[in-house]
Amino acid sequence: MFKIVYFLLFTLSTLFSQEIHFKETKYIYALDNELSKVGTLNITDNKVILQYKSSDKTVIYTAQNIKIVSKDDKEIYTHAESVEYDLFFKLVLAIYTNDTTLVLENFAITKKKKTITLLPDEYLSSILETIQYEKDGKKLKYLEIHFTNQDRITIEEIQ
Amino acid sequence: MKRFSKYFNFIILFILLVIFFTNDTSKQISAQITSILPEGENKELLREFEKLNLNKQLFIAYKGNDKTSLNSLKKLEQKLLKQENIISVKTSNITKEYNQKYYYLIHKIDESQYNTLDIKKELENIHQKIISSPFSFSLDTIDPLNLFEKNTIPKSPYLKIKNYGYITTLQLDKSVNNFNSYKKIYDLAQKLKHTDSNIEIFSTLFYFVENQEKIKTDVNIIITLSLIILFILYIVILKNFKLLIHTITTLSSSVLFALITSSLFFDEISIFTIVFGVSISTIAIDYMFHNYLHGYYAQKKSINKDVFFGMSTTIGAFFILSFVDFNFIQQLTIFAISSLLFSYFVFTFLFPHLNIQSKQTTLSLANTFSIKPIFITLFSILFITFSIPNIKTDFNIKNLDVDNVELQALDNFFNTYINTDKRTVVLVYANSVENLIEKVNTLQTTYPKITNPLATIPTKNSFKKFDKTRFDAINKQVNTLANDIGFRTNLFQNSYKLQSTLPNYSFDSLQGFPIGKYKNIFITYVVVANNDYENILKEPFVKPLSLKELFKNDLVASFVSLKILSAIALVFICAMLYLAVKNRFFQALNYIVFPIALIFILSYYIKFNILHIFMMIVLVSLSIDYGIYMNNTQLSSSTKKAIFYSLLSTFAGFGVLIFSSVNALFSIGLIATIGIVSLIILLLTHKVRK
Repeated sequence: MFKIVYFLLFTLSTLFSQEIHFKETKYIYALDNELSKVGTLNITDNKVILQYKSSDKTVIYTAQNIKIVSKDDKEIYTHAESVEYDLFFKLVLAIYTNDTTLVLENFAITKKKKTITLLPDEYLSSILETIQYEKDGKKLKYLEIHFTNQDRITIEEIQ
Repeated sequence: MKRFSKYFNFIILFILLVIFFTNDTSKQISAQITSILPEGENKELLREFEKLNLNKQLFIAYKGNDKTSLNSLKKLEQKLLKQENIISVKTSNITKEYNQKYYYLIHKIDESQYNTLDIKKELENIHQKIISSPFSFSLDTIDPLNLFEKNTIPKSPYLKIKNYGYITTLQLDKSVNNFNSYKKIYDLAQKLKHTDSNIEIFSTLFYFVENQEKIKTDVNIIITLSLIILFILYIVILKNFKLLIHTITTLSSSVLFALITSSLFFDEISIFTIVFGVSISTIAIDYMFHNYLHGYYAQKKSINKDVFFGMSTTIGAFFILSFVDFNFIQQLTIFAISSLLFSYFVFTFLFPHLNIQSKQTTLSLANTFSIKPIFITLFSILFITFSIPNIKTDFNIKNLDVDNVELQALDNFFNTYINTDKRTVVLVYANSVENLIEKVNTLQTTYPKITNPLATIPTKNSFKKFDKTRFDAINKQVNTLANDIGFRTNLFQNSYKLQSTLPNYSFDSLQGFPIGKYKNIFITYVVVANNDYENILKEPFVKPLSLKELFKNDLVASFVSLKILSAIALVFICAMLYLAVKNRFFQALNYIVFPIALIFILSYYIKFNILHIFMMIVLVSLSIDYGIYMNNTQLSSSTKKAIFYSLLSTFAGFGVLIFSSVNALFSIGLIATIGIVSLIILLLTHKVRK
């Protein structure tokens, strides 16, 4: 009986899940170099899974914690322990659920036409300069993150 | 001249009022508990400490864990920041500058990393981390090899409290330094709290405002009660309105005279001195009643021998106590001597010329029963003997302050969330700014958990210890290897390069840091974990900041001198008593020992504080007057009446303090009430000789 309920729940969660393929381009100032990689984001009701094609690591974000799973290893962090991933996933959820209040705690949000700009508060401003994104319907046109160390990440949804 | 003397009492009051206001004596009145503390270095250091910004924080909480609550908190914060004296908590620019310039002197070397250093391996690791980092790798080009312990990532200014809401902290600037500015911030906080019940705002400065308000309300209630009792006494019992008006005028003048006199001796006069002093001034009514009821005013006679003896004994006792080395007692004795002397002269020399006629009263204090004086003496000595082993003293001056339960609850609420590990503030002092910085840094080495912005300043010691040759070599190696591994050219050119000189520190150049100055002593504070508190106090350059700890020694010393001088005062009183009543000495002595015996019963329930003890002495000074009056050769029912009316007046002055919620005033009222009750018992059981 339990197996049937579990199967039904699993099927339903898969039906309502959202799979996003994206391309990430990162300019690294310290190396004066640009790196590109392709990855997938899987967003369900209670978790977000991040995977890169070139890596065997999977990062799972839930309301309770952040897990980094690879073939031989599994690391579990609280949100406070993994600030970077926590912020990244909050951002992803804010963009895909259109709920900017998720990042309200740390950003001032402005909207100009379709472009949404997030300006970090004093606490994050030592690391981040600005975050900007634009959506075309449900699809993410681009997401640009500018860091104070002159690094820059651009993410575009593909397919 | 005769016509003129009728108004002389009012003219004196008018002249004193003019002097009081033209001299701005009211500005010397202080509601701070520190104004009653012994003068000296500790008090001056405490005053300097209060000027530092530590206490000037404003804590704001907003109830609700949802996102809109956070938004509301931010809006509230913006509203507060629009006030010119409220600023956000930021690291000062000078700290940031020192942190950049003298990074290697401020941060502690990670010995294990330093001793097992493999530069190539470290740089390759960094390279790998940069490539595999999900976001941006935060590379420290000043210390890429992590040879120095780093500060953790800054905390969010909005603290999220599970099952409550959000909390943030703001800073009040230096202009918030007097009662009016505290009151403005307090009023604003109350206004905001009323507009939204989810808001809580707290600052330790609110204690000053609320406690002062509470004391003022208490004093107003007490004055009203006193006036009601006096009104009943004069209008209903004595039926002499003229006497009431002249007595109130004289007492008001005596208080003004005492205030003006005290202002010549002290820079600050405590509000407690005034409340207590006003009460003491009502003792003088006793002089008036004896003159009035014995017909001195109607017959225009001046000096009443008994009254003169009584007054001299009281003034003499206060004079002896004025040598106690405790500011409050000194203020009070000078106030008391001035007001009592003033009243005595007016009641004795001016009142006979005011044409005050004695009126018959219906009050009868005839003997219903009497107790042999020897039984009272034995009972008193027995009780005193049994109670003495129980007597415990309380020297915590804080216990005399207002018990502000509501504000303490709010204080605890913020403390629980903001300072999760319990912390206490201590004072650090040195004879120069440089020494002060060295001392704070030394403390931080022993107690790594302490916080103080001065610990982020490079010291001569750290400059000397820095191995410049080794770090110059590391810099060269890092730059060569980084190029080979693939880092941007010159990325690490400033790594491990030390500034060649230290800045010249002075009191002025370090403005913005919490440094105070008293004579040639420079002070600052450190916040220390409670576990380390006892140990840190053992350092010779650290002082506690709690009133209890800081003034414990002074209070103990004052208590010793109070005990010695009280004994001298007692001998003086006994001598005066003997001179006045001679062979009825022991009967008169009952007026001292019986009130003390009843008060000592309290030792089974409470600890005696300095005000209990002082009030006991005042009571003895008062009682002795009654001992003299009641045991003189011309004792009559008028004497009994005079004493009864005096006791009612004394209750109006002192006894009503028992209704106060301020511990200091309550302590006085409690002793006074027990004393008055015991004196009434003695009065009613004292047989009047025919």
